[in-house]
Amino acid sequence: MNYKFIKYLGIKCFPSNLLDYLGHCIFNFFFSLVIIINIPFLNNILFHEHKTSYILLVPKISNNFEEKKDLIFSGLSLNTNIISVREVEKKIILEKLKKKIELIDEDLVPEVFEVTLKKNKKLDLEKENKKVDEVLQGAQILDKKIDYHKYNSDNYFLLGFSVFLFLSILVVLQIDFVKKLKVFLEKSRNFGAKDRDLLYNISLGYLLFQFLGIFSAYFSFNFFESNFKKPSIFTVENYETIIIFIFLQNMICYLNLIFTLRYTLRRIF
Amino acid sequence: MIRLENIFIKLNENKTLISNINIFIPSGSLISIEGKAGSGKTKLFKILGLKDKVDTGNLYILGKNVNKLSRTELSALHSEISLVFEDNDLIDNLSVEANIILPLIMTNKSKDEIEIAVNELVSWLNINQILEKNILHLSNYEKKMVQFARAIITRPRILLLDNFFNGLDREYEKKISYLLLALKKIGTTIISFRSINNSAILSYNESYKIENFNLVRQ
Repeated sequence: MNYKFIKYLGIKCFPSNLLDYLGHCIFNFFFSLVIIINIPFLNNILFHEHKTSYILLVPKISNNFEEKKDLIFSGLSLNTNIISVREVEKKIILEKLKKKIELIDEDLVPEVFEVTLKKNKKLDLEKENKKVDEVLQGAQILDKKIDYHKYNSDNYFLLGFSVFLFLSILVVLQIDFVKKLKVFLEKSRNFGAKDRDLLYNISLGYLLFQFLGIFSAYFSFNFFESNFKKPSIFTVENYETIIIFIFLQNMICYLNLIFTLRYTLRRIF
Repeated sequence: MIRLENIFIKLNENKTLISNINIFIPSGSLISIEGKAGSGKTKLFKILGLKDKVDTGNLYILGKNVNKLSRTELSALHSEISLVFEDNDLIDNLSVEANIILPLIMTNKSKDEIEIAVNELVSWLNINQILEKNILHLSNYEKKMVQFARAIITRPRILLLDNFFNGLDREYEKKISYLLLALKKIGTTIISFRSINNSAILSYNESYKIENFNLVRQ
């Protein structure tokens, strides 16, 4: 690749002003940040909304506590409705407890596990608690009490509002972008350029800046998270959601641009 | 080859500018169409340049009826026709060079082909000093030259000029005329739309005049 080739490629794929491309890049950067902040919630909507969760408390009062804990897990593993048993970090439990109790002897704090079941499945708490108590006295499974309704409606509203805002700004930005390109499109058409080539070249240049905006948001958030606190968004369980939303954001931007370009080209003789 | 069959040039539903045009222009001819301002000259120029649609009648360009062409066929035909407008028709946010090579880039010509074409043309038209300039910083004469360079860089089969020689220096008019004759020799059909009081160095194969709403041969 030499200078001339890059220059020709620039004319072909980046016919608009640099500011237009940067504007789109920054817009995608900020909207990606909104999505990233909402990833745990989106992950919940996509994968966990209809799954039932319980809390298993295992007190550390017995000498052979570890063995008995393993026995409890073995018992739970026989239940085919249980998907996972995940330990809740001690730091998180202490933080929550400190809000309600002033002095805590950390050794008294039981180990806490989140038990997740398949969609719409429930545990027979009385029966399971009886079994668990027989293995280790004081161990207990509790129904996870979360005010889902309030949590969901607030988040749904914010998410819906930001998506609406995103779509509105996107449409305005892309209409403005294509409007500025109208002369270029007209001329190119007069010089014999095919619609297919025009759509391909212009969207290629546009997508490059779009990727730049989206991926730089994800990379900078990941960098921030890994350097300043323990990761809570870029965790393995959120990866699927992250990939889905990167794909969705790119597709929405791309399809809207193609639609706007096609519409404009159709009006040029 | 261009054939106009029963074409009416209308300003609007009620007003006809030129009625019932029936002419045949063979390939490689140099044609002049004269007319006063507002006589429908530019409208006819745009129709022949596929910038406007034909309301009535049939227009055949290079053997194809333009009313019956698909988008792809139309864009292929577009690449055979070049237009030079009276006013500035350049893309302001592109440099002079980018404007000139745009037709070649858009028809996917190779880097080497583009380079050869630019070097040949630029030295002939003496515009190498302004290649990197912004369009907004050009004089009217320079803009005209850049438009002309852009029009002929593709070696089109049909070249349409709208009042191109207006305000052009005699020396440059001569130079351009030689270039037009060279294009004519390789088979380019050149149609120059001119005002009546325009002087011309070129000798045309046919001259038409828009008179009393008719296109008549002189």
